[in-house]
Amino acid sequence: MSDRTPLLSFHAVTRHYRGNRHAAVNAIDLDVYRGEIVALIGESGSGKTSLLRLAAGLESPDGGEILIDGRVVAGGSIAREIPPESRHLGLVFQDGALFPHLTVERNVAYGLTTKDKKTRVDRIAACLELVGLTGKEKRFPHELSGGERQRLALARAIAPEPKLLLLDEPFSHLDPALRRKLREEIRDILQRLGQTALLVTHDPEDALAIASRVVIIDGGNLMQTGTPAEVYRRPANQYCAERFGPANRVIDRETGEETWKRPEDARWIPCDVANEGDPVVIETIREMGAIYEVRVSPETQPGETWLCFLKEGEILKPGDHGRVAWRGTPDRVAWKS
Amino acid sequence: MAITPQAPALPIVAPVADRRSLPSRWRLRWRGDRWGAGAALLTGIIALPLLAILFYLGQESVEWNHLAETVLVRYLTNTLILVVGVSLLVLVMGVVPAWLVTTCEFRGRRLLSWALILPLAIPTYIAAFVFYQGPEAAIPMMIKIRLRFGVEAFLLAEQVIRYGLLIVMLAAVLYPYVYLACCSAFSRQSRAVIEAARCLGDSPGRAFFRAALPMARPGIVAGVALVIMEVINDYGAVHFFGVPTLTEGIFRTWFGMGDKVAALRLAGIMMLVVAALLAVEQWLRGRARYVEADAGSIPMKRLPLRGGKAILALLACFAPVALGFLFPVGRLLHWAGLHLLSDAGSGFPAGMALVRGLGLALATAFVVTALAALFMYAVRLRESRLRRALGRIAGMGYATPGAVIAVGVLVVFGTLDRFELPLLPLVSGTLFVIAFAYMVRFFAIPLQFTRAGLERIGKPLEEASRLLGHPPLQTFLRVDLPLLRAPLIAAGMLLFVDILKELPLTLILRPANFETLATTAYSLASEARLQACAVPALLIIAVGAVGLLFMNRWLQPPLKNE
Repeated sequence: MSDRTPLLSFHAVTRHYRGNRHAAVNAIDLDVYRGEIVALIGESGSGKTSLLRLAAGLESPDGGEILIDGRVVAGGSIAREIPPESRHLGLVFQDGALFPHLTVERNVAYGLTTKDKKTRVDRIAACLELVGLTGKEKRFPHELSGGERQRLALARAIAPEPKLLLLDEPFSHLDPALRRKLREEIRDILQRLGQTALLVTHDPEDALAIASRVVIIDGGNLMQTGTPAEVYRRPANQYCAERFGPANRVIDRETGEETWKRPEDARWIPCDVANEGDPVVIETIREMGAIYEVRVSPETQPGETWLCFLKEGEILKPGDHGRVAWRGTPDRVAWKS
Repeated sequence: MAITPQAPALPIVAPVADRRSLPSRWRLRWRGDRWGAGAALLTGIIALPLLAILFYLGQESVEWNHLAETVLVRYLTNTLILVVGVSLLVLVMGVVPAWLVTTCEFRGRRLLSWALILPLAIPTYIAAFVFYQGPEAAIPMMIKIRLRFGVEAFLLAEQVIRYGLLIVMLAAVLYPYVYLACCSAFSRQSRAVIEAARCLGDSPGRAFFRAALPMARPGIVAGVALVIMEVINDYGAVHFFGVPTLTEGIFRTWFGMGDKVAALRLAGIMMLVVAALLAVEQWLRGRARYVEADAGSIPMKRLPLRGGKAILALLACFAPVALGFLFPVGRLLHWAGLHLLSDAGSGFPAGMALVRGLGLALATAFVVTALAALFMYAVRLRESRLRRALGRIAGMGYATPGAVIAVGVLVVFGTLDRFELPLLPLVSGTLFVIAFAYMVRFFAIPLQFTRAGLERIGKPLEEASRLLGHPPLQTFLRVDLPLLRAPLIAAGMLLFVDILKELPLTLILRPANFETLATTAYSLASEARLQACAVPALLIIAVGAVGLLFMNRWLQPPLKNE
């Protein structure tokens, strides 16, 4: 198997639920390569969790085929689907799904197949150390905190050394501060292991912080895929743009092309300085600590408003005329002086 | 330290091409669903006796026309009278105490909250021969009526007393089904909803009738449905009181008149009645999901009662216990004392036969519980309408009267006997037949407990286990079984108690020289040896009460002492 072979690939995979008019997953093509951390992002009901469960073998596709390491595991031409236990994938569940009747170490040991006691003990110790749970081997899951449970879930999933780790909204039950901390920890662990992973989330910060590639899904359809910077800076459409916070629709005056610009990329240009950017009128100004949230209406796109985060808010007032240009847009206009 | 990713010893995915090159693809497919096939097979075996009855419905019968012209209407009306009367009475006896116990606080509440389920430990046929003293006590009054108002009035009064007492007696031992259903419904209701009703201007009483009761309706209906099934199933009590229902009709037709086909037709009619009942119940329960609040909401704060109100509440909760448990148990204790003091008390009737009966009940309870757990797991392994249907069909025996099942089982084994299969004599006509009939009759009990248990465990744990490399059977043994321990023990206990109590099915199917506590008590009572029969009766009640309390502790957290 060369490195060119995707570890996991979906070929035109479709999944329909009874009673739903639209497919939860609609003919999706997606490849995950070795060493990648791919984040699937979308609203709830967009089909991202279905895709993950299809990969794990917890659901069966109605069409298309799923390959792991170049071999068909579901759909397509095979008579019998490869069951989840034979796919050798790891899955970290939303709420951990820890076995309540087993201690921390026995939870981790659950997926180990080796009979050699020394190897087992070493492996358990190594996994627990990796997630920082050393010393809590004898505890039961209900005696752990929320963050510790998710760490244990991760340790249990990586203990059998899965080729691919699946993470299903692993942080969604945690409070924001813990969430940020755990996110970074898990990213470090995954990078250290060189673990290939597929993460499902609705939180853009999860996706941008952890992933090496982001895949945006809506209504069972694949909308955009790219590096975190690409999907953030150059969203393919409004849905993709809105996944990562506010975005302004800007129509290029020359090509008529639609682009989406982030509020923090706006630059304010007083009218008399240059004719760069688009002419706008300021509507409202709100002071938000270090920056000002300024709403402007572009004269070229009547009826719409743009949200701009500007530093020079104190010298502006509603009704002012000026221009807004966007960072990352090549300058086409010469300066006046 | 870092764990270096290394290639596992085994190939990640079993080579698919190899699998496909195997000679038979059909076999592969079938092996892929061994669990489903097993569940379907078990369902088929369980449904066989019921199907046999349907098959015989079309056969010719000598006695049927005669039966239909004479006693059929009487059987039907009697059944209907009992069903309606008992249903109405259990509603009062079950709902009121349940509401008081879950929403009010008064002295004695805790004790009564579990004492109220105790009448369930008393089988109807045992309660019947205790209560049957009633009509005898009324004899002097009857004589007066006969002398003053004539024969017509006498007959009418005699009937009213007999039917009335039977209804009261049945309700007194069966109301706990409604009580339990209501307790669980009321305690699951969200406090917020009741408080909303109060804020909208309802008094506590009005809030009960306008909010709490309608929300509990599906639970109440389910409880009443269980009561009705028990009434239809009853054989001993109606026999004592001389009120022949459909069940007694089956006994009379098959064993009195020797007409198998006519008896099977009666059984078919009973099945139709029960099916109609179940359809109504399902329809009402299907909407329960909308009605009931989620279990996670804050429970109701109990309203403290003082003075006269507290005494009234206490009386309302005490009366059903007194009528359904303390009175019969008191009488039985009295008789048992007399019996043991007299010379007759020296030898306990049918000693060895009884030990065999207990052994059979225990073994059957164990095996059936284990089978049901595996069956339910198989049914839930994959979501599909077919599998849900299998679960429902396999549990149908619980809604089918014992006499009907016994008759169906006889037909099945009778048919099998004709083929002279080599191993059949080993099982036919032995304890195996009766154990199988118990399974058909009571399979729903462990099924329900396992279903509830598995639902509580939740799918993700199973999925996690599967992804960690454990196939379904291992997952069941390592994850589900340890977590199912409590509900399975409770189910086994309840099953054991139900088998011990079972009368009509046992009477029909038991081999010679085989007695259970139930048949011993019943035969002694039918010989009017009331004092002697008190001993086995009390044993049944004791075992039943222990089983009930055990089950209640495991599975009814709202009724547990907080």
